[in-house]
Amino acid sequence: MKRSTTFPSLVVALVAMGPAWADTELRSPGFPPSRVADDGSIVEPWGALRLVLAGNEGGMTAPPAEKPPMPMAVTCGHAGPVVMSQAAYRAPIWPAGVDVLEATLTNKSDEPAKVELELMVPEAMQVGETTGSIEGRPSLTLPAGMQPIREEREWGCTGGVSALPGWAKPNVPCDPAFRNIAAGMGSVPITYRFAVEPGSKRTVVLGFCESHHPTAGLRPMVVQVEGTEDRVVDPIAVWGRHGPGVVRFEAADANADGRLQVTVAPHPQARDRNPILNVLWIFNPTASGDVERLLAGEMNDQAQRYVDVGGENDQLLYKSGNLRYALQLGPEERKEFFLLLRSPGCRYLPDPSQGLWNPASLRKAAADVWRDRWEEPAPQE
Amino acid sequence: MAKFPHLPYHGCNCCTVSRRCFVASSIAAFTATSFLSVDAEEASSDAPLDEPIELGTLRPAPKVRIREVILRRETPYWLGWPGTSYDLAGHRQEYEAAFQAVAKSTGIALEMEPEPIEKQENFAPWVARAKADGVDAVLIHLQHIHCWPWLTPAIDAGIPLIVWAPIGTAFTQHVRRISRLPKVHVISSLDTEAVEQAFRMVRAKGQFEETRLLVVRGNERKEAVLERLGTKVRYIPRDNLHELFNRMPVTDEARQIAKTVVANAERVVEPDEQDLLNAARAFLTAKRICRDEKSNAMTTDCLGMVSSRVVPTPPCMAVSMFQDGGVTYGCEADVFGAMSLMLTSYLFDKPGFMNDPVPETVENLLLAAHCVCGTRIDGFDKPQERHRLRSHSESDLGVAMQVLWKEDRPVTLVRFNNPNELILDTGVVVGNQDTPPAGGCRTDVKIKMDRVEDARDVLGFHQVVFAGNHRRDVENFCQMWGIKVIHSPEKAPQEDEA
Repeated sequence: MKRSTTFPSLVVALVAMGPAWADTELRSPGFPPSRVADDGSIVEPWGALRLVLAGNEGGMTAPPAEKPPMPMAVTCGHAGPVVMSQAAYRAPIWPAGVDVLEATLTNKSDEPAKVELELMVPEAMQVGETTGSIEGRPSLTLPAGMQPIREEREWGCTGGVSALPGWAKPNVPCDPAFRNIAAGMGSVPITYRFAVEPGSKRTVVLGFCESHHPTAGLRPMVVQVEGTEDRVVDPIAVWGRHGPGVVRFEAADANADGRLQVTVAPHPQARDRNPILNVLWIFNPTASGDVERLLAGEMNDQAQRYVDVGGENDQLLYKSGNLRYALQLGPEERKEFFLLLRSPGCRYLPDPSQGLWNPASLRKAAADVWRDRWEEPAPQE
Repeated sequence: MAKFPHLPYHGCNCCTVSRRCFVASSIAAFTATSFLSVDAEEASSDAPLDEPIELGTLRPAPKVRIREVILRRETPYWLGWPGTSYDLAGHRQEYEAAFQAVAKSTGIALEMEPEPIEKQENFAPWVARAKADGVDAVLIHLQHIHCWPWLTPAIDAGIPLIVWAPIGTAFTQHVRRISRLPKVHVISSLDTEAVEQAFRMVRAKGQFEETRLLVVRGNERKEAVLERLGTKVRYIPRDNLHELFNRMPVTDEARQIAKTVVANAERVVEPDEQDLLNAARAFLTAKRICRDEKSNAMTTDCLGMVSSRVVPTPPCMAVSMFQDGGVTYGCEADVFGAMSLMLTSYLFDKPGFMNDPVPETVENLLLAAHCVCGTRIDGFDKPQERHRLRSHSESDLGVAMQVLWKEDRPVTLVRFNNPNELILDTGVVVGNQDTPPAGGCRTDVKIKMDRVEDARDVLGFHQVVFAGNHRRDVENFCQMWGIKVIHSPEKAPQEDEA
């Protein structure tokens, strides 16, 4: 009988001379693996991701001695007094697992230290505030509580949502944009920001068309438009199933930051907490409010911004590219963070801010499965 | 190729490495000690098939620790509730004896602090110690009404908090907010049985976390862990079960089971001796595969196995026996149906009845129908309900329990939609539907729903019905562990919404 040649339980140390990541698989019994490449990148079917410590002098230290029950790739490098260790493994969370990259930064000196990190992501990845998506599918969750340095566009969605073109089936002739939606799967609020003169006013119109639920009350949403009171919108209650409709807000840049923010959030009591949005218009405050013309798309060219949400002219607020982080660590301070990556077969990426998964629970999940695993067939050579 | 000893079934050989691989990776530290020790722990898949397995050993028994302390102001009291006349020492003795008793009955290790905390500033360090020690929950026994604000460090620490506030230590204003927080359970009462239910909430969470649910379906082997509840879900190919069943002999235990079920039944309708022996073999097979897969609960593609005729009997009788023994066996490889069965088992020590919901539109009733009802409806240690031995209705094969639920019995219906959301309803049993004249399933309980105007609107499928109106207890559990509760609509939807 042939035996497996995988090397699941290795703790792989990067050493000073040459590439030292063995080509290691991140895996969990029964699920297809991912791979850690020679350069330390985690290689997924959608692309490779790598976390780099700027100024890494190449002197690598041995990883801390630990004996995880699951396959885990561990590396350790330093830039001046700052040491960064990384551990990558597959957490078999239901239903199909997720890859985890944990990182720890430690300032070994008794002086404050600056740290620069670069998160290298695939070119095609659109990275929002908390997640990165490939082809509209969330594939990466960013470390919580760390703000990357990056450029913003004039307007756009802050990310984390799924684009679902053709999802809605409007039951009357209307602007084609009503057929497309962005959906905040997993209770993710849909947020857009638009550059405006600080403190200025605008008319914001949101278009909805609900084609999934049969009845009202299942997907009410809370719409938060800057400078206005929060409003609950339940599209089916107002316009019926497949009925396109619009809601108008007299908005203002209330905090005078030069950005007008619009958010469609899940209602806390909703059974379906995945908010949706079909169309968004920004008008001058004096614009007419002709609903029929809005629905027909006849006012699109009068709008300062017309967004076919989840459609062709939609865009992310942030420009694409790698993410840079600049951090300051106090004397002997230690900072831990983690990223989640969509592994092969992964159906959804959990939102760490909901507190259901953290490094301790993710590791426990992996350890629990590996501890009592079964014999696996050997691959054919 | 490196020579590693053959690891038996459900052991692992994936840690074995070729010499080529090992040499190429010589910079690596090999830390597979725990892997290689696996075969030392390998139990018993090679053990003879007539090896007896005690069903109860499959039930998860986590080590759960709760730490208790009294919060009160410095004594002696002068005015202020519970009052100068309140017998602090006497009530402490009384309640601590009750706490010990419920700890024993629920299998929880209760650590009681010998000295009350009488100064607010001493509470936060106590909480920090409890958290550092990894206790599963803390029980705070209030002996003064002014101590409510002291509880903040326990809430902030996120450690599950049970507050025992005997009448005389709280006004509504004290409990209104705190009693609705996640990870908090406030008992403002003199009923110490409520402490038992609170302990069960903590224990049940531990049991969910310790459970490996075996899902027998399809042809894949894989395992994943559910969020929030931490239950491991292991999928194995369906063939494993029916192949094991086909090898399972008619043992002495099987013959004894067949005799016992006949003796305990009100009557035997369809099954013959061979059906009974096959049903007993299905029970032995289920125990065996559960044990071999290191699992504590299971659910199988039973209908698929029957429809493809790979087994001569559906596992209905085995399922009922599992439920009665405190070990979940769910139908039709329905993961969240099985999770719902676990809830009644772990939180109430009662079997649940996973069912198909059938509307009776003339009498406006819900009929809960399936062929797999447990018989110890009131609890695993309680007498069996009246029942008959029938065939599995859809196939007219095997042995299934037709359990006759007592009329006027309050019942609760639960159904996990996912680990974060649970449907909860209640009702009262008003009768049992026989088959024939009805078709469908053998146990068919007629339920008049509470708070649901029209039985057609009851939410969910494969809900789990169990004895008693436990609406508040289930809500408390869900609040403690952050599970959203939804109820079937009280009012029928409007015409244009239907």
